[in-house]
Amino acid sequence: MQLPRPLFLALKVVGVAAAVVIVAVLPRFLGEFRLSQFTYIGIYFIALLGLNILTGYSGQISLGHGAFMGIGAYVTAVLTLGRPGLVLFGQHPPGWLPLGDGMRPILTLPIAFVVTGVVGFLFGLPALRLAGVSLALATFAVAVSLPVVAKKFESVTGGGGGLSLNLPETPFGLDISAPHWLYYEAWGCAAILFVGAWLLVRGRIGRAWRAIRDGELAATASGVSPPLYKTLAFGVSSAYAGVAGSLLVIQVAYVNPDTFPLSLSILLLASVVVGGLGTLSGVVFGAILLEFLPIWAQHPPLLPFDFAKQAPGVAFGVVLILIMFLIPSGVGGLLRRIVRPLPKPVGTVSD
Amino acid sequence: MLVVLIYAFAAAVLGGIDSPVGAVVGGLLLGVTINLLSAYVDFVGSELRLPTALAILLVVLTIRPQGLLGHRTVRRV
Repeated sequence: MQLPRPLFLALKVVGVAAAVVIVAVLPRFLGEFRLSQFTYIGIYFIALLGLNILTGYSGQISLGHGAFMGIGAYVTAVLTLGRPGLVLFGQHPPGWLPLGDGMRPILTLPIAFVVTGVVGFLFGLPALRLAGVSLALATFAVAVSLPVVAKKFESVTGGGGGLSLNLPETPFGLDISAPHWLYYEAWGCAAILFVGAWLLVRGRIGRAWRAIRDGELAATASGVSPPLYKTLAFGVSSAYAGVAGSLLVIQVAYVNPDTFPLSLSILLLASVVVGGLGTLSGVVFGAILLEFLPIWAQHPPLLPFDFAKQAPGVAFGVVLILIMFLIPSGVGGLLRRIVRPLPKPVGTVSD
Repeated sequence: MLVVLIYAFAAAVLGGIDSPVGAVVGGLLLGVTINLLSAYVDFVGSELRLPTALAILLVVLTIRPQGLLGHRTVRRV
């Protein structure tokens, strides 16, 4: 269905407003467990937004986003504990590390954003010389390496035993329960980062990313520098993943090297494909799938029996294949196919 | 094991990804280097073998993207 542009814009605004209202009032109708599930959806939403910037918009693949989530998680865990906290765990972190004396978890989020962003940028610098499958392999190596490295630097990361934080509580004297606070914290960050991603994607940078995705040679010919913009995409994307990891560790108050397994990285990539490559709003469906599919696959709703522990992997594969067959552009692409604006009249200059 | 793939890939990049001789040289060099490191450098030990391969991969890509024996591709735009 094609709509006139003003009507389409209005529909978009209504859609966003509806989403905000739903997210805001949802906790009223949910028990504590469901609430935590929707907090996870918010967290996955952030990680998938980041991955979609990289894969959907600039066309680079990453199988290492679980690892970048892990880096963000460790930054938050270590900074929240601070040096005294780590000493309490019986660890002796090297003196030159600026660990501080522990801080509020929420204040570590921007730090995690910056640190993971810088790590992603530095990794992207050499890695993006590779393309396609080779890049997938290199990022895959990151995902495999992170748990090993985390176990090795025991004095900071707590090794295989991991780090546990204090149970989350509501800061700033707000009058809501801790799970509600975590929910709003996660979705608040998601909203901010969504707007950030939207602004990035619609402007000059987003145009450069799409140009590189659609034809690197043509993009270079038009004066876009692929190394610069690809690395930028990698940095932004891993910064998003870092924030998601931070929020995750604040939510579960525990992190160890196996919190971010290789399978997470793969599931993230699968979810972003299901949500729709190159659509920001479709990502939320990927996040919902990532949270609920493993549960539904094992304990199918409405059916009187359970499946084996291995069912989620199979279910993910089947869903992915079905999506590829039925709606190759993902849920976001499907939405766009149902409602889209009329093309601009011939003769007007775009942008 | 998928991990073998990563070592193999790092070796191929080290030798030069478009060079058959490079594959042999890179494979030997990477394998021997990593095993020597893990045997004689305590810090690397048996745990950090894979991260070492990843580090070598990244260093090669930064310093000499075409690898030891590979050809530098020049693309005209």
